[in-house]
Amino acid sequence: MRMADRSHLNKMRLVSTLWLAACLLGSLPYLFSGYCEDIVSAFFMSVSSFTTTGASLGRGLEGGLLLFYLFCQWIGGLAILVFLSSLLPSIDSDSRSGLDSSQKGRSFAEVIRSREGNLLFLIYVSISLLMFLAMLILGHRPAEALELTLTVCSTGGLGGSAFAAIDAGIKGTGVICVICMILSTVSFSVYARIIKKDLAAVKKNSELKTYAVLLVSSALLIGVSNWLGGASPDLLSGLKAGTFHAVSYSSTTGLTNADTGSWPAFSKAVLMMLSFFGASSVSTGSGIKLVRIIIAMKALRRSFYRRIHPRIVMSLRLNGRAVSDDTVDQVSSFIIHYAMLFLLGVFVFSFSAPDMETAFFGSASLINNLGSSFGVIGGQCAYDFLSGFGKLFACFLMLAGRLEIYALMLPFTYEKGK
Amino acid sequence: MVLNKRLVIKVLCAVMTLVGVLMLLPCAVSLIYGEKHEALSFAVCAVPMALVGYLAFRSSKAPESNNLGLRDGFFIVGSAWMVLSLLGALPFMISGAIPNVCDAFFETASGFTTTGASILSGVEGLPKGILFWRSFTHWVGGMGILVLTIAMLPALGIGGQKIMRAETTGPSMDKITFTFNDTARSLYLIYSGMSLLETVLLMFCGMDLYDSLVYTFGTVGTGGFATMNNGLAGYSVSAQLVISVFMMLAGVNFNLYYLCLAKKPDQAVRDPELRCYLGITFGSTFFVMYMLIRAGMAAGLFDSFRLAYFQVASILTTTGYSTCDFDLWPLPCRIVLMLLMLVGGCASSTGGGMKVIRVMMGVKIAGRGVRKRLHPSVVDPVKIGGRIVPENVTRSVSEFLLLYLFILLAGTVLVSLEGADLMTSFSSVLACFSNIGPGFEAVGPTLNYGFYTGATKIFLSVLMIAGRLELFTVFLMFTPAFWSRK
Repeated sequence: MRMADRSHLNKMRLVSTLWLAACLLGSLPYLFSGYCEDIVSAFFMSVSSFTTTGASLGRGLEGGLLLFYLFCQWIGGLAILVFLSSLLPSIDSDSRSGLDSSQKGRSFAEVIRSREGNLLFLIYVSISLLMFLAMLILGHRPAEALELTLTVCSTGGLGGSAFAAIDAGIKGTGVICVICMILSTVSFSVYARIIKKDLAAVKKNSELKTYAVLLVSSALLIGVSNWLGGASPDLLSGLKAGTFHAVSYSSTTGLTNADTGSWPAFSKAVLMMLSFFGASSVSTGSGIKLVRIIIAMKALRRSFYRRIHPRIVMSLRLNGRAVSDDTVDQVSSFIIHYAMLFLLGVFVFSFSAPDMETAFFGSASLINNLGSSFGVIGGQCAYDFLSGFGKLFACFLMLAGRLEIYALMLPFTYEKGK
Repeated sequence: MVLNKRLVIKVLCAVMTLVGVLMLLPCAVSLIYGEKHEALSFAVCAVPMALVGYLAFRSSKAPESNNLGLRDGFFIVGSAWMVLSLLGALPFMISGAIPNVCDAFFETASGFTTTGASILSGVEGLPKGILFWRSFTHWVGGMGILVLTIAMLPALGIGGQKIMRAETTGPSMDKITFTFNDTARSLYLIYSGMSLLETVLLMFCGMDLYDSLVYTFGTVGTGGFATMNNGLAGYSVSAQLVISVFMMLAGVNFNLYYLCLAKKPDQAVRDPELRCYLGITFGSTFFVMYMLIRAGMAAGLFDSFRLAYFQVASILTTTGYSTCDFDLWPLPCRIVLMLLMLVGGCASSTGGGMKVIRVMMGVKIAGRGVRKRLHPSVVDPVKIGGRIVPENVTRSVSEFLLLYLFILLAGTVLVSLEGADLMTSFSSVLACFSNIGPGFEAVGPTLNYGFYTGATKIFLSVLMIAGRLELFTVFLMFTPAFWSRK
């Protein structure tokens, strides 16, 4: 094995060990406070917070424990930004490291010391601070403002605490949350470009453009479908609910202020689709990521061409740059792998879930680090129906979704060419 | 557009003639059972179709060249299947058995694509001739109507390879004989032999000739239309076993049978896809057996084996027959069946779905993706059965899998507009797209697709045809590139 490979592998090992260690240590408070009786449940809670999922076991968290849970989410959000920009930069054509998957990422130390690392941290902290201030100005209690900030900026989710009550209390909360969720879902490399005053690149960024189109159209579709389906009394409130939930699901935050489970099937289908590929590449959102879907769509378009003109040579372009065949292969194998893990999750959950919808969307919600779902899980994000093994597998799914599968698959691969 | 129009027209006329001739068979069945009205309806469709088709075939101008381009191949196959489903629907409408156009089109598309999804809430009262035609479409569609046309009309003298590639299932076609016509003919010979054997065996199991034929058509074509509302529950255990064995046989790559006939059975046994297929079948059967016994839904070991094996074989081969309402089974069993729906039969079989070989490659492609990510400079080809799969094949397989997943997702979103619950929408799309028939919840094995609106029925029918023709053939026709002059 080449030296570069070896050091890359070591970094990946370090990442997965660090995440597991953090999750294990983070599970202790749930155990000691008596919120969870067994270590598996505590681990589930801990993983759900660090992976910014926001799943819970049905019982609301309170006081210090809630704050700890949300703070872990915020730390998890920061950690994932560093991870994505240091070790897995290759799908974002806008990042400096380019698209060639043979390029290794840089070490954490390098990223953190570099300008970009500082930028990531600064952007993340300033979005959080702005949101905190906005919440205080709106008249929220400092603790409540902090809780919302920690969960929204990391696209986590409130873990069972009813967001609806907080939202209904003070007008404007929902609007601020929507803005901050969008800010956290846009690729952080876009901010880096804006700071460098490279606006032309921002305008060309197809992930950003697709995100905007996707968000607006799905908000409209959900709004109209809710209005026609009778889930909202009038078009305006339908559109409001549509916008809030489209943003919340596409950012994989999973905050809800309505009973989405009783919405028309079409609205639910659009929401679930958004949670699979609404988030952008370098952001705290999870799921397959929009850029991969764009590349996959372009690859499919090319394969249609190739079937009519077999000898055609077409390079695939993203943001004005050619995408290598290697990257296209990576993207398609990632999506296939993702779908397989999701289906495996459905199978495992089917042993303890009460109905098909719960098993199906529970698995989708966990692998996408969304939290809330349909069926018995609902907006309460209650996963207490899972058995011990089910919870362990849920942890695996959440980590796999969060760490883009690869880091977590280390124990399952063998080393060739020693 | 640079289609070889005259050639396309000639082939379509030949297809039309063939459908007309084939329709004489249900006409005869109707006459035997004394159903005069139905016999007349069939005759009214069959005779003009055969005559007009034949005359048009003879009188249309000879094509400038017999050269069949890629586009022509796709266009002929795609349009022929649409035309086929429309023409085949006529007897249903004229006889009044299924008066609505959308319903009749759905039922016929479901028949030719060997899906077996029905909009009829009760089939027991329907005339025998109509039911015979419904099941006969499975047999015709199973091996491919164009393959049949070209095999029977060597006079067309066109390169059938391209058409066959668009119509047979699986990632790539192995040439088993030197010329195309031999391949097509030998495939049809095996297919007919298998059908004959099953019919005889079913008659030994106590079915009458009519039922044996209907169930044989449904089995070897992996279709799934039955003559009873409760599927096969009312037939003897031995008949159920015969049918389940033949479903399995129909889901195997037909080229392997050719190998066996060519006295190379050792090669056939070593086929990695076959081994995986058998592994999946028996693995899932034992799992479902265990769950059924644990849930107390089977009366004993043999009973649970009978129920589990039949259902697993029926779903994996995308036939869709049932001996009980599997939608009442424990949830893990239903999820296993749903996963089997995605997998489908082997390449070059009559089954639908993604195909076992593609799923095998998909798993290996996903595994390689991880290894490449962790060891970026590793050269790591995908291997199936010890043989390296060329990069262009793995690429087209992963494109196929991606397109499959996208269509499933997009289809579910579209069908959910109907307002049925999400699992119903998803399983309707899955069951139609994979050519299975029954799904879960509101489209479960005892229920039907009748409640959907006309637009959704047409959409699901197009999905069935797209699934049967391996996605690209149909979807290509909706791309601008297909129609551009370039």
